[in-house]
Amino acid sequence: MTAAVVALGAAVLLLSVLVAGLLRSHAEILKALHELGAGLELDKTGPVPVTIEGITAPRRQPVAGVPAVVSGSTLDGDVVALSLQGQDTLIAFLSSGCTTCQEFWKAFRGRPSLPPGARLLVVTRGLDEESESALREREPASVPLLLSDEAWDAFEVPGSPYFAYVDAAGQLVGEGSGGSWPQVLDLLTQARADAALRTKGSGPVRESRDEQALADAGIDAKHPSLYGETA
Amino acid sequence: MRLVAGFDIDLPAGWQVAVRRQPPSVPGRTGNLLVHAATVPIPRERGDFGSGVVSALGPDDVFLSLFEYDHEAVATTLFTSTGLPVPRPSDFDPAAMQRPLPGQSGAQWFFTVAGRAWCLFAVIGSHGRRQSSAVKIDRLLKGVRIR
Repeated sequence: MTAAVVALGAAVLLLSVLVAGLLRSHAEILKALHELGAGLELDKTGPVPVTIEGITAPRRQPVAGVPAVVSGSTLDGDVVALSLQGQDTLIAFLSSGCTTCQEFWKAFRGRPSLPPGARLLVVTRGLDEESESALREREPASVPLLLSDEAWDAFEVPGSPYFAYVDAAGQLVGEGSGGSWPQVLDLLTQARADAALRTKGSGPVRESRDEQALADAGIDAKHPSLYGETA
Repeated sequence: MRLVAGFDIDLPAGWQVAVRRQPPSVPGRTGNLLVHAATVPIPRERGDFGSGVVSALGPDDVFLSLFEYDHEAVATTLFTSTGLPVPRPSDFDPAAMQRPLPGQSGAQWFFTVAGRAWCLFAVIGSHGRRQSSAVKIDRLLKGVRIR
């Protein structure tokens, strides 16, 4: 009996040590992940940003931080500023060195298809971080190329390739990444359609607007006109 | 927005602007400014006064070339006018085009700003719409600050 109790005690002790070791190991892994910035920021208010491949709804609500004008320089040394209002603009943030970007550089060499009425603008980092010769090799003939660290910072570009779609009113309607031009184009078309619905009002937006309009007209939930009776 | 030293602009919606330095007229001197602004994309290859751009103008589009001359020109009669011009619809004339294009119209002003000599050459896509185009150009010029 004593031997059994001792054996059980030893087993419990051993298991306790193992569990403590596992917990400590977990804690170290979580600490390392947190230091790498992969932890959920639950102490912050608002939605936690999620990274997915594909054009997503704008991260910024409202559209604060999207500049009305992007400026930078060309490979010829011209200083250029371009208004993002008045016409839909798709900004492709590319690098000369990134592997996925090569697909887009290639696609932009011809006349890439775009959503109706939209223009395309390629923006790279400035020459402190870019190779001029590599950019000259890749520069598309029919698509303007702007070197602008400011634009990268203003759009909070996380890496390349990255795309931002700004509508004619200067509103960011979609942003994100993709693996190929047709995929990006498809997702952008979807983002534009979603933005159009948001503007018109659908779902909760329209519901709230309609309720407000009824309330303004003095019609509440118990109003007889809603039940087929005359007011 | 400061584009280059001595030249700031508040760019209205729908415009783009490109600034480059002209080759220096005297070796060792900084080249004078050449500013192009348009409501259409400004191509890499273009002439100082808009060749390569104006052919792309639609009826509601406009193109401007702000060409800086050497400092010595300030003393000449051509540049006695001071301050950026205020374009009027009546300033535009199809005959003012360097190379006439159907429907288009142009205007040119010489003036001095901040002790620097300038020529402004403007092209509008439609002479018939010079009223609204002149307003558009004026709105852009009101946002230009030269020092």
